[in-house]
Amino acid sequence: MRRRGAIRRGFLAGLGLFALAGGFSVWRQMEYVRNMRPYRPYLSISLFPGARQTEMVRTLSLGYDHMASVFLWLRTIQDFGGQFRDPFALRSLSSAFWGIVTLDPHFTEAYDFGGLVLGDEGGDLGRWLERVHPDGTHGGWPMLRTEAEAYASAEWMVEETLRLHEYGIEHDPDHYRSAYNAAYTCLMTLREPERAIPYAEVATLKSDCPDWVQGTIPYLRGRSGEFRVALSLWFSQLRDAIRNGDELGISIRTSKIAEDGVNAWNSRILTDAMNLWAAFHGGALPESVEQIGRDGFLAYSTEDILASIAAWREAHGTVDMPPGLTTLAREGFFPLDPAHPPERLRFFDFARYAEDVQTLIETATPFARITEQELGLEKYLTVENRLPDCPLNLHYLMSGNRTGIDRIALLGGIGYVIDRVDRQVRDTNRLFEDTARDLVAIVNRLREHRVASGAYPATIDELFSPGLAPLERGTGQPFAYDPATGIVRSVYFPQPELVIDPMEGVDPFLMGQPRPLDERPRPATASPEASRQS
Amino acid sequence: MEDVIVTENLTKIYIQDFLTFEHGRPRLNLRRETKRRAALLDLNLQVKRGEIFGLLGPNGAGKTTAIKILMGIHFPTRGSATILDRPLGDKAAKAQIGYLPENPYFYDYLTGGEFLDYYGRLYGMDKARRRRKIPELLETVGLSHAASTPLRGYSKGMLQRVGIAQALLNDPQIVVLDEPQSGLDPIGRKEVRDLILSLREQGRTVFFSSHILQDAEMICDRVAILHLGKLVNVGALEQLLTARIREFEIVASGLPGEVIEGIEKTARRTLRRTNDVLFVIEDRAAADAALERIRACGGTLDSFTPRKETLEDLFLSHVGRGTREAA
Amino acid sequence: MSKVLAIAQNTFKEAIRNRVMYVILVFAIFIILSGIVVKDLTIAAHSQVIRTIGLAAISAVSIALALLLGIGLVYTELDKRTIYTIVSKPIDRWQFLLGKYLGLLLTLYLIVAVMTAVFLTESWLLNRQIQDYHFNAAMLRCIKAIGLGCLELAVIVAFALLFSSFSSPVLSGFMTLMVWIAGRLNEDIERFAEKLVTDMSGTPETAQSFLGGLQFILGSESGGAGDALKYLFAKVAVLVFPNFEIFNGRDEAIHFDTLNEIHLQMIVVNGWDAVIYAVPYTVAVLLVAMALFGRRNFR
Repeated sequence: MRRRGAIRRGFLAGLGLFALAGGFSVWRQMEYVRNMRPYRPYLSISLFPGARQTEMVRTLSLGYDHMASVFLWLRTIQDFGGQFRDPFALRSLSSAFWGIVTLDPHFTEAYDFGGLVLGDEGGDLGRWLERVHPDGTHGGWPMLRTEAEAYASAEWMVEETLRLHEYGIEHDPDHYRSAYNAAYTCLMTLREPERAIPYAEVATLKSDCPDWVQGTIPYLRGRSGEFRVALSLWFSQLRDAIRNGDELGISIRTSKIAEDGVNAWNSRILTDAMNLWAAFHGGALPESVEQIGRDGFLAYSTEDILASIAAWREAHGTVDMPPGLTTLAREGFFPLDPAHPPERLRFFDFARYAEDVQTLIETATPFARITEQELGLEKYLTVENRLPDCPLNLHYLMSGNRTGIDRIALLGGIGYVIDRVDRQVRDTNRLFEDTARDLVAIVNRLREHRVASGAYPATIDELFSPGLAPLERGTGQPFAYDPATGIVRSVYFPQPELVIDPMEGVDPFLMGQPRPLDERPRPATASPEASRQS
Repeated sequence: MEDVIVTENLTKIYIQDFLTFEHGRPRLNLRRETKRRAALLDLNLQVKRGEIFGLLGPNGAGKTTAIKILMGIHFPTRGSATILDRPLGDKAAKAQIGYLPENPYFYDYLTGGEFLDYYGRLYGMDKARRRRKIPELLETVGLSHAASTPLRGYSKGMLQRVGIAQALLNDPQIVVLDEPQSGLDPIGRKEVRDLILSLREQGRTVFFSSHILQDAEMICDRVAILHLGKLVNVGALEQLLTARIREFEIVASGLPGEVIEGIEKTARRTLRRTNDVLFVIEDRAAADAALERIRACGGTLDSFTPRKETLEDLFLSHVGRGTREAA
Repeated sequence: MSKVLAIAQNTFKEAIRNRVMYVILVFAIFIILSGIVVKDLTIAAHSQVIRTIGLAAISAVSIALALLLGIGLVYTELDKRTIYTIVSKPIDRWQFLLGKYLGLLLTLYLIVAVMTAVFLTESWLLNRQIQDYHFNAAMLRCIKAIGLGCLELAVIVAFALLFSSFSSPVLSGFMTLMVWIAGRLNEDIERFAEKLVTDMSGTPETAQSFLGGLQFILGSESGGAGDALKYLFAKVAVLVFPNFEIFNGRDEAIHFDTLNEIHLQMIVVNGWDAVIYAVPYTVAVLLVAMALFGRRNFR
């Protein structure tokens, strides 16, 4: 009986201890639950190491780095889907993207999606400004205390995006998307077209880059105020488009040429006016563009342009591109009239070849476009951004990180070299064609000279009136000339195809009697093969 | 009769770990002498064709070591041995040997039939021969019913029998059995005994080790006694054991105290038990006198056994001497 | 040879009748098939994700099995003393080891084949939804990657056998695992050694020659002996341990359809090179195992 009592006492003591320990645990758990913050899935992802430690994870994954990156990728997608409105969550996601691309640098989709998540979503300043609260927390959510923190956060997100894309440019060099996405972020989120240019240029060097990306470079040049560069690029692209018979390309490029032409013209006028204003006011700068106009320093105005167009139309009639014209004919339609002063000349020419001059004038809106950035209409140019020490100050952003652009240029260096080689080959081919054309012209003149005077001239220059010799006008290269045989050789291209006997195929009895003009070889269309056959 | 197994100065010295445990106490073996332990020292044996040769000795005497060296499981430190006039490890010799290790354990995921088939292939037997031989052997060892049972379902006796079967697969000239009877029940031991005798009848040589002396005494033609790695005696059983009666054992009951005391004076040993008394008397006349006295005092003679010299006596005398020498 | 085959067959039987293996196989198939679910979780890169999971599962599970089965390969025979009856049979010890090796390799290749079949079937079924343009080429590359993994298995099993032939399962398992890790990190170790030299403002050319690097480290004023030791250790490790990066065809199988020719050439593994590397390496390791095993006294 006593023994049974002892057992019962031991059992009761155990039960009591269990109740005490269990009760305490449950109570603590309730405390935790009560103090628990709202569900934040990004906390799980923030446990993953960021890029700086991922190299270690890559080593530890022992050859299964793809598996690790896929795992992280799936987790990241889930966490993004869970909480994509929360900028804090997006900020913590950056370490996950770094993890993915460090583990597997060829994970192209991770750069794309990372740019979207970090740059577009996380770099949204408005979203960060929503999360400013002086208490530092609100409704259980972490909050930023000042707006400056919001600006800094948004900027950090964008810069992180660019860092991610630069990593992609370096480590995933076969894909244009990283570079293109970086350019996109610079332009659309940061509103810094200058910064986007090198990224876009790198993007176009990639083998998988679609053709339409080419158009972004002149666009970005134009947006950053380099209208002349933009114009020359648009022109070369327009020429390609005409050669390829790309109707859509032609229409896009002509309208772009028109826009940037107007802008170039206006910026020149504006710069001149500003210089004039500054000179007149002892080096001081005007308060605004309008002031220059008010003070009467603007030589031209919109009205002037419209009047000019009207006058030009009156003189030449409405010139629309004839729809039935072949592309070759359109190319021939292009020469510029040297009588006009340069700025005006270009404007008129763009206007002339634009399909609809009225639309051109409406869409060009010259002054608004020029002053858009200067007047602070951009998203980030709020009053605070004007403060010199604010990190989102436009000038601050533009002047900083120039080395970054240089680095991009370096990263794209190899592609650039390839491009240069291609271009050199293209240029050489073109030079070869030009040389052949010049040679044909010289040989024809030699033949005429021989037929007319019975002998070859002592020098080639004798054949041409001053300043018109093809060696000056054309390729600018020296020719070796033998007055005894009349054979002219190109020094750069010693190929036998280019060595033509002037009297080859000429009937000796015709000497001294000039042939009719129609039968002469035509210099503009003659190819080396054609001239050899003749 | 030719010798099938000959060993010359066969010696095996083990190099011990530097730390060993003796009676639970750690001991460091750092010195050269303590690091080495001789398991077998200069063993010289000749086993003749067709005989049953018993290798006897207490646990740790070196029996198993000797067999392992002969089977190529261990390499001798020095000395040499030939089996069927071929050196150790020769495959042609191995093909004529069947071997059953001590406490055998086989692949328990195989069935009895698969197991024997596997070993048959290791002997290089062709398929037709295996197909003929295996059921025959299973029949011999009485395992026909368990041919398709996995070995994990076998009892210890069955395992021993399937082990013997694998040792007989190749119709060996020499059968080497290491402690074939250990761990078996009396029926199993008898079966093994009968098997060994039948092997001799088939003309095979049987070389086996045992520490169960009665069994060895019953079947062995010749024995070798090993102790502490050394061969202490070898020879034919009848030569080793003298035929004379060494002593008489008398068991009687119902004896008065003074009679017991009287006989006790002449006895080498007296053992008083609950119901009777055991006297061991060496002298024949004293034994007669003791019987007279028992009868005279009205006691009952329960048994009277003349004892010849046994292997056990021989063994004990040698081993005892060996132990003394060792000490 | 027939005796070797008999041992190989028995080893195969032993593995096949091991229930743990089936549990692991079912687990592997489960992982491979998880691609079906995972496909819906990812936003892009569907075929990449499926390929990654499948190849990683096949490789990891086969290596885990190689370790698990390989380390006990010889030890079990010693522990259960079945080796006694084997050695007393008219076979050589090297035949026994070779048989064990071939048997386990056969088992592992069979398992890899089963997993590959599951993987290919799954990929084929899923591809009817994904419509990957490169599907056939991708599967060929995956099969190549799995084949390279089989070569890796051959080397690992040889090491497992080597360690198993003279030490306990736990110890040999640990050592085989270490060899595998060192093999997978072989190129990292090489980079580490080169970094030691180049950090001390040596040239990469110095770093690439073994003695040159050692001379440079010993000759430099700071860090001398400690770094020299590290360098020596790393370089010897690189030379002694196998380089399993040579058998990594997964990079290629996962990314071949998006990389251009030049960069693809940088990660493509030459299958014949891998074979020419794996076979002598395996033979060498097996010879060491046989030498150790041949003179051994079995407890």
